[in-house]
Amino acid sequence: MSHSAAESPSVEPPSVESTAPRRPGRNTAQDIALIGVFAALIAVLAFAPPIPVGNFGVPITLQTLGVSLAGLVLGPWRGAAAAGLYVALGLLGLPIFAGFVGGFGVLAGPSAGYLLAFPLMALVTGFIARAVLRRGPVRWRVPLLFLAAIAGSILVNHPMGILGMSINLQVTLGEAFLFDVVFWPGDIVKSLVAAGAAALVHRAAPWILVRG
Amino acid sequence: MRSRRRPRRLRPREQVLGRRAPGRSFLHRAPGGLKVLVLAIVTAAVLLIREPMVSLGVVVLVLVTAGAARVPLRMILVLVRRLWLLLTVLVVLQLMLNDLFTTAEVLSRILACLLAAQLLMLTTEPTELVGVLRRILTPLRFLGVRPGRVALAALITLRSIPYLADTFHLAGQQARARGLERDLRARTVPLLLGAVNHARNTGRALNARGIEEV
Repeated sequence: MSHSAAESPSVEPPSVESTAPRRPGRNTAQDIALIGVFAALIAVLAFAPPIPVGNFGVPITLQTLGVSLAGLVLGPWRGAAAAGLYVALGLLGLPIFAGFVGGFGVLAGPSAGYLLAFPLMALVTGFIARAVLRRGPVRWRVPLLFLAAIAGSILVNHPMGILGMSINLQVTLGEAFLFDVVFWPGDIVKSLVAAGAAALVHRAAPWILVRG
Repeated sequence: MRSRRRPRRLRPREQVLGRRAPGRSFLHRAPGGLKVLVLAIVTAAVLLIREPMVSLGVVVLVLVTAGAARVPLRMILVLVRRLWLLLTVLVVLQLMLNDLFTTAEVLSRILACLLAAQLLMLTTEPTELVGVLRRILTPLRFLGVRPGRVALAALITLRSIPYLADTFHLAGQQARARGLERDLRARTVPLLLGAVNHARNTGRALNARGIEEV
C-alpha cells in the first residue's frame, strides 16, 4: 500500500511560510495531490488515440471524459482547479492537449472554445454531482450523475466550443453548430461511462468527498 | 500447426514530456519567462492581425530561429505530421464554406501559432514552465491564490502523467485480453481507480513530510 509513497515528486523542503495553521477537517496536501493527479488524468485521456467503441467501432476521443470525471469525483472547486491547472499548463507550453499540442497556439485552432470551457464545465458538473451525492437517493445516483455530466457538456462545453469555432474558422454560428453535432453521440456515451465510474469511486473511496 | 510468426516489434512507449531538442544554444539558455512572454506576444499578434502574409512571416521566422538555435527542423515539423488529418479536414471544410483567401488565412494562422509553441516546448524544461506559472500567479496573492500550492499541484501533474499513461496502456491490454477492447468502461475504470489510489498515496506522502507548498 505504501510502496508508491516514494513515487511522489521530488520537492524542496517546505518553506517557512507553509507552517500556517491548518484548518480543521481539511486535508490540504491531500486536496493538492488530488488536483494534481486529476489534471494528469485529463491529460492522459486527452492524448489517448481515439478508441473504437461499440458494435460499429465508431472511434471517439476521450478529451472531455477526464473533465467530466474531475467534476464528478472531486466536486466543483477542486474539479475546476484540476481542469484549470490542465488548461494553464497546456497554454504555457506543455504538450498535453490532444495530439500532443501545447502553447498559446491552440487559441488559434478550432478547439480553443472547448478547451477554455473546461474549468467552467467541471464547476457546473461538480455542483450538480455534489448535490446528488449529498442529498440524492443512492438508487438514483448513476442516472443523476449522468445528468450532471451531460449538463456540464451541453450547458457549457458545447456552446463555448461552437462560439470558438465560429470565430476561429470564420464560419457562422449555424455552420459551427453543424460541426458540433457530430460530437453529441460520443458525449452521451462518455457521460454514461463517467457516471458509472464516478459512482463506483464514491462507493469505493468515500474519503474523497468528505468535505469537497 | 502453423509455423511461428516472427515476434512483433515492441511498441515504443508514448513519450510526452521528454521531447526536447538537444543543445545549449541561446534559445535553450534564455529564461523561460521571457520565452513565454515572447510567444504570448507573437500569438496575440497573429490572432489579432489575421493576415495570411503576417502569419506566413511568423512561420518563416520560427523556422529561421530554430535554425539559428540548431534545433533540428524535423523535430518542429513532426507536429505537422501528427496533425495532418485535422489540418486536411480543416482545409476541405474551409474550401467548401469560404473562399481561397480565408482558407489560406486560417491555415497559416493555426500553423504559425502551433509551430511557435512547438519551438518553445523543444527548448524549455517542463519544470521551468511550472516556475513561470508560479511567477504569473504571484500578483494574484491578494485574491487568495497560493502560488506555492499551485506549483506543487503542477509538479504532481508532471510526475503523474507518465505513471497514469502506463496505467492506461496496461488497462487497454487487460481489456484486450478479456476481449473487451471496444468497451470504454473496461478501459477507463482501472485508470480512474489507479489515479485515485495514486493521489491518495501522494497525499499521504506529502502529509508525512508536512509539505503543503513549494
